[in-house]
Amino acid sequence: MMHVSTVSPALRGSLRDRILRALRRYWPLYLMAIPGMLYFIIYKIVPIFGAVIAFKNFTIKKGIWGSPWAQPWYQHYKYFFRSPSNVRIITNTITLSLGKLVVGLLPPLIFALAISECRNKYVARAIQTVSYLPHFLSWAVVYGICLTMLSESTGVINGLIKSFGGKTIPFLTSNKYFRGVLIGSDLWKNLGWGAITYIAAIMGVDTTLYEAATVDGCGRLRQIIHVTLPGIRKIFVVLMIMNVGKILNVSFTQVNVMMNDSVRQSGEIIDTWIYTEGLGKLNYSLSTAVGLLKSVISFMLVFATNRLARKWECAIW
Amino acid sequence: MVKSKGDVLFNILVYVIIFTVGLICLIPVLFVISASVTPYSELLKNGGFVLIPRKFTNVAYVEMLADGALSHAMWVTVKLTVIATALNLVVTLMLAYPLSRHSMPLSGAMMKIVMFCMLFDAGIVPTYLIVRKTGLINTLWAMIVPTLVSAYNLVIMKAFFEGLPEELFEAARIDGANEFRILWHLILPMALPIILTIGMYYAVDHWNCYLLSIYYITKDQLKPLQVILRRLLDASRNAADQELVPTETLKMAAVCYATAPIIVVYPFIQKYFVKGTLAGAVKG
Amino acid sequence: MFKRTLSLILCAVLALCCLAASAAAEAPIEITVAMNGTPTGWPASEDENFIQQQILEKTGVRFVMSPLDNYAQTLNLLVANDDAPDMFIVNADTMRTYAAQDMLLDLTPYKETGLKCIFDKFGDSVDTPYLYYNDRMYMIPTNDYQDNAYYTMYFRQDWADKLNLQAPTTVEGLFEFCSAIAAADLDQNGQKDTIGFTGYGLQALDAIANAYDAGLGNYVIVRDNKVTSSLLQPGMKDALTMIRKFFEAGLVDPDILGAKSEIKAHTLSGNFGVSVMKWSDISKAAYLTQAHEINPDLVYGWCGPMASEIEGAESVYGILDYNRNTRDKYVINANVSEEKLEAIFKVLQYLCTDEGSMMVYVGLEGDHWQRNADNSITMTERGKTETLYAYKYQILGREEAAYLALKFPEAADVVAYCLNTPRYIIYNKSVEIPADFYLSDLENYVNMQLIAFVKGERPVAEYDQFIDELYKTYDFQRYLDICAEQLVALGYAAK
Repeated sequence: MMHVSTVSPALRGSLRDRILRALRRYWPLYLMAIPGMLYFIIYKIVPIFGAVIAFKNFTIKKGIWGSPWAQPWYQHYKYFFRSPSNVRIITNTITLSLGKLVVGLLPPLIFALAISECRNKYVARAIQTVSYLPHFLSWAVVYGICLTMLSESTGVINGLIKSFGGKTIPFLTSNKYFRGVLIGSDLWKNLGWGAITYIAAIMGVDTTLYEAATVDGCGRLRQIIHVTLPGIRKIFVVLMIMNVGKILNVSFTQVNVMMNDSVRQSGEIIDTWIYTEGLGKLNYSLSTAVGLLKSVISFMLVFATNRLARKWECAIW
Repeated sequence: MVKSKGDVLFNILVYVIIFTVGLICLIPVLFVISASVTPYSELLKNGGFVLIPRKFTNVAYVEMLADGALSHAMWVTVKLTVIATALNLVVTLMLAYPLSRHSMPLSGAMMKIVMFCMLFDAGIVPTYLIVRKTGLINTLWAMIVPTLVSAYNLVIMKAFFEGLPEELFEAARIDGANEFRILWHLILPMALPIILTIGMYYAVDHWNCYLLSIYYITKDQLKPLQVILRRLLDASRNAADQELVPTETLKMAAVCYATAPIIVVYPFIQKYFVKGTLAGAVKG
Repeated sequence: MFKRTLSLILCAVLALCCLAASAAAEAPIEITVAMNGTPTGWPASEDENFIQQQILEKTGVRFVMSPLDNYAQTLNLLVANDDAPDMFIVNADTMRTYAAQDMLLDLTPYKETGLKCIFDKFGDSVDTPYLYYNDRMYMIPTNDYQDNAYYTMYFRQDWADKLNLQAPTTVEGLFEFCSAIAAADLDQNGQKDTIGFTGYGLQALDAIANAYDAGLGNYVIVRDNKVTSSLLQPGMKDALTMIRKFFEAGLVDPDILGAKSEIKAHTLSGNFGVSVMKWSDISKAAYLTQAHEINPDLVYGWCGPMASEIEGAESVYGILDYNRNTRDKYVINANVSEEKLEAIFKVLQYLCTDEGSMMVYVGLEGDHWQRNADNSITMTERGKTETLYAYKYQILGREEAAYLALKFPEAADVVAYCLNTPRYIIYNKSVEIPADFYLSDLENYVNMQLIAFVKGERPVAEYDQFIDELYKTYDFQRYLDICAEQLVALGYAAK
């Protein structure tokens, strides 16, 4: 184990004892963990060393290790931060991701509670099945649906507005509404899907607690507040921490499919910029550099949220 | 049972919420299905929107099933989903369980490694290199092994295991059960809903496998369903002058064909989702 | 014991190697080719691909074309890992990037040998600077065929006849034409929902801007032998004001800047005044059938450039690169062996023959087409359905007019019209922009602001301010200098 070599020889005796004791007691657990950990080490940790190209000028013939170092080492960061669009794309990325995080936080939970409180099991099951259907549609299809619903000339909603004598709304081609459409369609696509985890969690709550609450004269709303919510508190916080980790990865595919020049002002994000500047021009050093920066930021965010979560004893580690 | 006024109000609220969500989700999906059986000219006349088809055609489905590429890709995807999900579940379960046991030395360090892996993305070039070095390029495994464990699913599963009371394990151990038996006979039956849920998360991910297959697979024989579907859907975006763009009807039929098999999975596992499955074993 | 096992294993390995080697010698040499996009009717297996079988039969080469999905990104990844196929198709920018990293085979030495057939067939005019990087030729030359030259302004002839309208010839006339049709409610549905003017994005509005010798985009042009930009043209403000007039009158499709599929649906459903479209999106038999199912009376007409509002300027319409031959072209991997290179040349030479080029146009004689007594050609029913993907093998380009007349007889008129329309000539593709210049940021900003101008979100009076922003924030002067320097060097403009 890596641990051993880092410890001074004086401590080794007792440490070895500890290791032996741990192994004797927990060897089946360590054995179980081996395949998973091997996977993470080979396919996740090892490639991270290759991310060194963020500080190099990667050329194909010379490969990751042979390529010359960037001059200066932060050359690619300089290119990114000097871009005339950087303020716009960074603001857009942050607004969009925060918007998705905040808007997407409660609806799946509320929906999951409603489903589990629904006394008619057939209705509940049918509607739950319907609710996660949108998750299976790719963004290209979702955009097609958005067009038929929201387009200004033939869209269903604008048709309704027109028939009531209102003024049509350019949902998909105006900077005013575009972010709303992005956040809304994301919520629509993932609401039912996100609820699945909560429903599984609610099923896990001890039924005797409900019985006790009924005896105490709690109504159903108070049962939710006093029994269900505390029961799934942990999974809620865990999911939130994980989502904070994904905060900078606002769905590239979604924006790429739905954006056009008339909403670029409000829609262009770091990932779409990198797509043309980095991957499109074979500049892997640039895309890796920005990817690394995003990773560091999300790492810090997750670290902070986890620290916070520890207060409620819901931390991930 | 006498219903109080609050109870009635509460019921109304519940139904309002679930029917609103149900309707918002159902209408667009219904549109996809209707569009797949409506003649294209009829669609155009109605500005692209038909909810209940008045004219019916199965031309798109006939054309699609005649296309050997799509049914072959369906077979690849089914194979991929079954094998990969089984492996995912076994490995994730075997890792989540030890990680949930905080008394085990190094479990915290291992968890930190996993979180680090989730947050740090090495970028595509070094990852491709590893996948190639391990000999996976142009094999089915290239779509399985690089996503063997999802840190996200792992953390959810671990959080559930952590909810299990320590006394349960102590009791089992006093009975002389080893860790494998505890996992198999004690944990597994209790955690069935979460295992099924995560299994479905994995299965859906594999069903929608796209990026891995375009990066690591260049043989057409091994391309999964989503790649073929995407070719159809994107045809209008980058069509050459020579190309005939498929009609909306055909596209939507392909979407239905490619989605239906995976959608029917959840109703089957829903029956294991009964309140109190864990019978008091899991506390938050 | 151990030694014996080892020697046995060694023998077995050796024998296997020999077997493999002898098998390889007998099998035909295989060339892997990546193509961009999967064509309609692409055969599910190689055996059903008659072109591949024919090439194998005639040249002894297994010429395997396969689609790469998400083309540009996947190709980059394969090239970056030295896993690229033997041949692949790229645009000039990508060619320069790869060539700069020595990933492509320099084809200059083969101009007199392996590639000679191409020059023999199409003439030396196909040898354009576009194929070169650092004075070395990397792209396989193709016959002149045009990329963006296919836009034209469609209208409904039957509606124009009903209202006794002539096809518009001036910008004012266009305005009148669109207003008349939008107001007439010719589909008689009692709603004012007829769209006056539609088309794909800003480029469609060039129909108006070009009449002012301006263009809606960052177009590099040459005027009075000097390099300049369409954005700096004196007519630009008038053009924007005119376009605003169309918008203010409610004539422009509200979705014009949105999704292409939407615009095409509007055009197919026939409820429009003027639609700027490529012929290939409208005038093919399949699309015409769709349009006629909705409007049985529908007849398309098309009209050309609006008369120039600038004195002395030519009336043009539609953007076209000076170097007309700017479609993506095939390049060869630097790693191919001598043997494979020979095989590639063999295939190219076969495609140069009359038989080979007819095959990639319309398929095989007898199976897919027949020669009539007067030497004209008729496609058989099989030919119409089985040769849909043949165009992917047009690696050497094609004789455009002749080919299109053969394959799309229903569009012959409009194609001829498109090919003869005088175009707004730009030079963007001839310029190589250095890696540290933020070109896409500049172009995105230009597009965003032009959209703001035409939609009225920004007053046209602020146009000069917008140009100032380009100079200040986007280093526009440097861009113009780069363009001028390179275009002068190429002899397209004077200093």
